Amino acid sequence: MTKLIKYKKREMILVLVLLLASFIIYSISPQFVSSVNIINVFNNNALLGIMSLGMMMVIVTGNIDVSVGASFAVCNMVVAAYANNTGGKNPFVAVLIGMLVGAALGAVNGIFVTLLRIPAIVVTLGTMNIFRGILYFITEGRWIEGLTGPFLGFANRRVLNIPFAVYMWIAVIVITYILLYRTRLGRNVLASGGNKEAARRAGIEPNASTLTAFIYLGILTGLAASLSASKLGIAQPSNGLGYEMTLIAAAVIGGTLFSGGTASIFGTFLGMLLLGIIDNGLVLARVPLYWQDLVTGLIIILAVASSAFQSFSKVRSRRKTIKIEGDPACQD
Amino acid sequence: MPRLNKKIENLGLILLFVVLFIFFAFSSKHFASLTNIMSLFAQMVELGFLTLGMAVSMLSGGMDLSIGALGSLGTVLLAVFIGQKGWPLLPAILLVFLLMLLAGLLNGFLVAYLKIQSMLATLGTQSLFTGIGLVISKGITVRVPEESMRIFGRHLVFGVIPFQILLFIPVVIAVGIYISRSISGRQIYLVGCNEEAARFTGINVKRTLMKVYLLSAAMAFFAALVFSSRISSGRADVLNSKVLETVTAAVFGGVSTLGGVGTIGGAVLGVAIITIVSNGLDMMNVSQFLQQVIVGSLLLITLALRNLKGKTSPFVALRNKVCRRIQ
Amino acid sequence: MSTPLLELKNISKSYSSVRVLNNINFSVVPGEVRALVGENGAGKSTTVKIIAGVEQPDSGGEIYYNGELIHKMTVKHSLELGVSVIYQDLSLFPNLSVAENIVKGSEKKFFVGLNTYKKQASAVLESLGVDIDTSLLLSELSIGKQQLVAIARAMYSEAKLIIMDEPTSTLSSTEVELLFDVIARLKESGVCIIYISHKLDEIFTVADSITVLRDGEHIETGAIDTFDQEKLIKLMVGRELRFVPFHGTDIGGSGTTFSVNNFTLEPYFRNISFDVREREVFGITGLVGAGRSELAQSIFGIRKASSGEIFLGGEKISISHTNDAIQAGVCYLPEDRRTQGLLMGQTVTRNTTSANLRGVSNKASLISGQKEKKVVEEYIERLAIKLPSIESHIERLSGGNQQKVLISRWLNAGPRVLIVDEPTTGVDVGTKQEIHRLLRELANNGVFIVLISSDLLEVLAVSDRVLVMRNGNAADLVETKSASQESIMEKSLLG
Repeated sequence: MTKLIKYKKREMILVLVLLLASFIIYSISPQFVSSVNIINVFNNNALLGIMSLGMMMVIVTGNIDVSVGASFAVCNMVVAAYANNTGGKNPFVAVLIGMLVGAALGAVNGIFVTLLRIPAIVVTLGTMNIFRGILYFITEGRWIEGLTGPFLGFANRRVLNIPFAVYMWIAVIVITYILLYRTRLGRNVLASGGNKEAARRAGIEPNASTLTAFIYLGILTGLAASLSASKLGIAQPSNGLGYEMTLIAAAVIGGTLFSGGTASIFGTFLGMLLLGIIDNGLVLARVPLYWQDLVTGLIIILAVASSAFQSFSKVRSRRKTIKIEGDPACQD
Repeated sequence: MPRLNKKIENLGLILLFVVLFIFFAFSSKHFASLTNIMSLFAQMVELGFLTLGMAVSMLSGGMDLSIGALGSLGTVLLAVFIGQKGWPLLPAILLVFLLMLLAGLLNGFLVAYLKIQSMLATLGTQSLFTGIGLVISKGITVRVPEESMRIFGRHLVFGVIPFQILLFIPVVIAVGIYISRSISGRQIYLVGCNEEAARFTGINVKRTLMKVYLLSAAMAFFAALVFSSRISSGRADVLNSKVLETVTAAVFGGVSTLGGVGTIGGAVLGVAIITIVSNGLDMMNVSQFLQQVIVGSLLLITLALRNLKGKTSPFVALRNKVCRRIQ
Repeated sequence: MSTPLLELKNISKSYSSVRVLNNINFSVVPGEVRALVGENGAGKSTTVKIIAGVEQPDSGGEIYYNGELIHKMTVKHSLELGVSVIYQDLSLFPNLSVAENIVKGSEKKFFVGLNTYKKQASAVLESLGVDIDTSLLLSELSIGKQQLVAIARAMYSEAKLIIMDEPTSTLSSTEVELLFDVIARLKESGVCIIYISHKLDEIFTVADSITVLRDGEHIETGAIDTFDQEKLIKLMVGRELRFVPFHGTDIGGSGTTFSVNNFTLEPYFRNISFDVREREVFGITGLVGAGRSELAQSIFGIRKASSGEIFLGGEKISISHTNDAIQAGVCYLPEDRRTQGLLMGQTVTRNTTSANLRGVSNKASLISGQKEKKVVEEYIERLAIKLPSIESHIERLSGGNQQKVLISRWLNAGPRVLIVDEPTTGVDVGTKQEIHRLLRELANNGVFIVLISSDLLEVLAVSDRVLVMRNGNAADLVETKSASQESIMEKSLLG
């Protein structure tokens, strides 16, 4: 128990915040605590929840991806186009295609970041516009609607009254856990995020970790985009606008530090849930839609500030404990 | 030598501008008309103001991504105070200016005192500013019927010269002199080059960064003033999409994404080229979306070429940056 | 004699224009404990990095492992060959568990069995004889425990060659005993150990043979019984006097002083007091980690000392930011030129004037290009700085000229006190001499000079008195006229 409090402090605090938020929303609008609404909250945030784990991975390597919303739109449209052409016969292939496209887009980002050594935020700012621009150019802004066949709605199908998308969210959480904690690949990602130089000295290539993380985010984006097309039966090129901020917020609220090397899967899950509950609460309380950005913006800034503050003090204490020799060659 | 290089680089940009101008003049018969040229300059102004702010924040080693959202918020505030509430022009404008400086203060505080990476802090405040704008405008476009507001974006002096150009030129000169000649301007370069070394040479890094974000907020204000007047309205996300163009223009004009390198003159030339490209492409009926692709590719290609040439030695600069953040 | 496990032939290494290793030749055999000794900057760390494949030697050098020529030593290759390095900065992962830190780099399988790792790591730690919970995060351990983890890691990798860079600097005496036990055991099983340390008594306890490096050159290699402490120190510091002495005259003339009283900043230094007299160059020396730079940076306002006062000419001055220090005339030339001094990518002019921009501004507070140019040209002439043009970027200058530009920066700020921290590292001998002469000249003109240096010859040649620091304490204050390198080295090593 003491261990739980010590290592999962951030998560414990988040759980408390979640409960508090839930209580406040409940006292304003009692229908918040109904199985229908709760399943709704999970269902509405499953796709973002899936992607947030990929974003977390990218942040662990000390990078960031703001093109993720545009990638989502591209995958979304490609999958919908495929499903539309094949009459939605083969949902499995459709999802696979979505994930492949996502992986390719992630690889583009990863390659630019590692090979050209351009800061990730600048690269992804550029690719964000390229991805979306190409998408709009090709589609001319048209939607794809009227998806049919088994593809339509498979993500909404319920088992034990819980939609498929939520199961996928849980599956991705488990897979991410295995990848990050149970494979050498994931451990190398964490290691190079924690101490790049030490990683290099241990024979780990930090660039490979960075590339892995970007591709993983791409795959999850593709998955989420396929599920979205299935759920809604339509796809539009403007989908995914502003997703990047929500995803970054979820990861950061969950305790992922921008300095890299620290990840929390459970925390990211809770972070996403918190954002979802607040959204839901605003709707239930009939607060006009336009308040949402303000509230989310505030939460994000608070999360970013506290995360930055943490990594700041962490680096400091790390400095204190590990002395660096005065050899001019090793100091820079 | 480098100064010469810089001159050559700027000369190259001017040359490129001329070549592009001639190219578009031949490809579209409307392009070279006086009205289009004037409207070209007028278009330049909004992007120009925003790019000035972006360039200064980039020189200081950061990137103010909230500048578009802040500009949008400015248009909403102006529209609400002047259009909805019908306040007199001058006090309303002054109040908006002060409120926007306050927003700049927030950015500066997050970056300088809480030491949050500039891009992340401003990505956060971007949502915040847009959110505030949405709440104030209740999510809709607010009209400004006020006739006197027309002057900033729709008035032609002597019937030909758009007023905003006369507003832009002195601001460019002032910011240019501030950055290239004043002590604080020089300190912005040095902080952008290496925060730690800057501190070791006696520069108050925090205060310098505060000045940077105040300045970029002021530039966002000017952009908001001109824009809300030109379209006679304000909307909470109307300038948000301009951020990429400002970064591209600045990078194109020779401002480094790693800080400490670049000039205001170069950035303005970058704006001129981006504007002429998009105006020319408009004239040629190239879709807005393809233009978006072109701008994004331009950014990445310019950066890739610059890095491959090793001109700013990205490795050294990056490493300095890391060291600096660790402090 | 068995075949050498590792043999270095003609290994040289240069960083830009500075040569840090020059034709190093030595070899080690299995089961040998070789001590690698030398002063700071002798080239020990670089040698280690070359063996580990972190740095590539200049062409012409050859590395043989088990008699085989290694064409390109990469980190991976070196790990596969069984080379394991315990770096002085440990190079561990603070965000990972102890168990993982121990196995990292040696894992064979794709899927990670954390429990297996834990068991294996615990077994290694147990064989080391230490009790550390392997599921703790590394950052939760004390630095001494982290050091033990680094040692356990080398053992886990079943390395044939283990390089230990100052492994005992953070260990308690019982832990040191423990380490020596381990070394003995490793030696018995045929592992070769290269042991780098400043602590001579340890070397004589643990090593079989010694290689001495000095200024990047190989000086001597021999069995342990061919050395004694005195001889070793002599070999480390070199016999010949390499610098022309520049001692002061009429020291203390008018009686004004620059005084530092009771400066303390845990854990770096405590209760440091000294007075610099007029016309005096005051030296501060000590080993790496003695707290010299931290002390200087606290005086300059980079770090905040927890207590202490500064008096300049009898007046108390308070400094909370570097800007205050410069206003008061206290200037500091940092040790780490690349990250703390030079403004890379900026011109020589901007680097020179950065500390006193007001001095090159006109009445409207605008920087005047002409004034700047005049100032910079004046210093280029005065310090004989060689450069393509004053508009060249600073990184295009050689190390010595870069340093001269940084000195110009402070001269331009009108210093009353100038603290120089390792002013001649990475600088050629001729420029060293020039810098020494300049420091003396400034002292004669009434600037209080504090010279921080671990180059004892430099300290002896230039300063008039020297404060020896050890582990953050003032160990001794010595008149240089009556001191020798050996006596100072002894004070800083042994106290």
